[in-house]
Amino acid sequence: MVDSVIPPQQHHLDAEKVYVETARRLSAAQQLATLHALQQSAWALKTSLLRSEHPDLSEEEIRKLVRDSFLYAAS
Amino acid sequence: MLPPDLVSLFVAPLNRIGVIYMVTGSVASGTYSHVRFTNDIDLVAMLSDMEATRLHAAFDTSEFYVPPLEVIEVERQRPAHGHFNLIHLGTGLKADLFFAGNDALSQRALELRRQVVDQRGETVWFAPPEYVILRKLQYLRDSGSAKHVADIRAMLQVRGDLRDRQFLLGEIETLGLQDVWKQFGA
Repeated sequence: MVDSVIPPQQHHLDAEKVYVETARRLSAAQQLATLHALQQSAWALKTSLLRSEHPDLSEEEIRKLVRDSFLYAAS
Repeated sequence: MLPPDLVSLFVAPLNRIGVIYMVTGSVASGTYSHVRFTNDIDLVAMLSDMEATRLHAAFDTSEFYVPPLEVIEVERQRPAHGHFNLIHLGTGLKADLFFAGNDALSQRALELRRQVVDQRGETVWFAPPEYVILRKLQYLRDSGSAKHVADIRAMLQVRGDLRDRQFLLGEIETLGLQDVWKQFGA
């Protein structure tokens, strides 16, 4: 994320190479499973944050807020 | 059994070894505002030399790309901008782990980090939203990436209740981010 402002070290170049090779090796099914896991995790984290910040809201209200935030989801 | 995700792969090991860390970047902005699906997680941590050794051991090299311990140690000792990558070879998910170093803003944010719990009951410590915005402003200034504009706008829109707006504005001035901040009209 800060690679634009820091000269790359060799280990960052090594990591980039591993990252690209790993991404190429993964099947569509594996990528889909990972995307699904990321969605579940994002949903749980968002729900937990809203519960802690808005203890007065009902579970249905929390679910609606989480759903709304997913409507605007980006990648 | 739930499939692995960014928290189970990269955050859970930090919890197990007792490292002080916080999640920032797009995972944090997505949790604070509109969700962003990203395959990497940005973490800021403060590590002792013992913890650096434990952290290195916590990521099995048959499952993860992990730089050598010597590299982690060199990065840890940098006064600023020390960081390295972890990559899970089975999913391609990635962590960028930054060291707080001597950076006063990161140290302050670590003191104010917020606790959230995921679907497995795993604790996840998040950087305060003000910190997430400040770092994104810096990355926006340095890279011009449109995704940071969208993330900052979403955070300002959803979190009209930023707890410490004065702190945010003060740090924007300290970090010389006034020009990039202007476009948000906030």
